[in-house]
Amino acid sequence: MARMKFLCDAERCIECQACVTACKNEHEVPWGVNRRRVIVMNDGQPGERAVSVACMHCTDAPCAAVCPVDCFYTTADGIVLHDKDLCIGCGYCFYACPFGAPQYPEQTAFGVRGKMDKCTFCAGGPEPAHSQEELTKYGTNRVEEGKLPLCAEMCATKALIAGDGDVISDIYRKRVMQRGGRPQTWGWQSAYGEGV
Amino acid sequence: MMPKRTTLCAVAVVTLMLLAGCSDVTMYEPGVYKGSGDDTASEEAAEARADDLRERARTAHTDR
Repeated sequence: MARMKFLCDAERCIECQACVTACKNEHEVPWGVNRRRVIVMNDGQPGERAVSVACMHCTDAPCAAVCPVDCFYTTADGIVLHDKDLCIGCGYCFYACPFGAPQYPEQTAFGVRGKMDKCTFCAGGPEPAHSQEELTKYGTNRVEEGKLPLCAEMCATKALIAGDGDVISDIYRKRVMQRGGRPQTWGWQSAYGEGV
Repeated sequence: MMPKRTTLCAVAVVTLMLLAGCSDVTMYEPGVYKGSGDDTASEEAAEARADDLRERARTAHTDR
C-alpha cells in the first residue's frame, strides 16, 4: 500500500513561492489562510536555504492525537484529513503540530477561530468527491483523479516532490548520488550529526 | 384515593417503561474518528489509484 508523502529538496528550492500560489489558486483558499508556506533559513547569509512546508501527513499525527472531537482520519494511502463539520476550532492541533500546518480563517473580529483548515494533499475531504460542498470546505480532489498535489506538480525546479514514499525517496536518492554528497534535507545534520 | 402500595407499583411500572427507552446509549470512544465516511479513503479506492499516482510521480518529478 502506498504512503503519500511530501519532500522538499532544499538544494533546489529557489523560494519562488509558486507552490504557495498554486495551492491558494487551486483550492480557492480564503484570505489569511496559507496551507503551504516557504520558510527561509539564514536569510541573506551564505548557506541560505528555503524549504516549502505544509501538512506532512504524519503517520502518527499529533493533531489527530490531541483533537478533543476526533475529527481527523487517515486515508488508506496515508493522507491525514479532517471533518470540518466536527471541528470546533479549539486550536489544539495548531499547538501540537510541529510544522504549524493547521490554519484558522480570520474573517471575524476579535480573533475568533473558525474551522481549522490545512493541506489535504489535494485529496478533498469526507464530502462526496467533486461535490460543491467538498470544493467549498476542502478544495479540489486531484488525488481521486489520479493526480498529485498541484504545489508539487507546479514546482519549476522539482524541489517539492510528492507521492508514494518509496517513489519519492528513490528519486531523491538518485539526486543525492548524482550530486556526490550527503543528503541536505532539512534537519539532516541535527538528526544524524556532521559526519553522516 | 389510591392505596399507597398501588401508587408505588404504578410508579415502578412507569419508571421501568421509561428506562426501557434508554437501551441505545452512545458511549464515547476516545481516538476514534467521529465524522462522516469518506469513500475515497478506503483501501479499495487507494489500491485502485496507487499505480496511476506512482507513475505520475515518476513522470512529474524525474529530471528530463
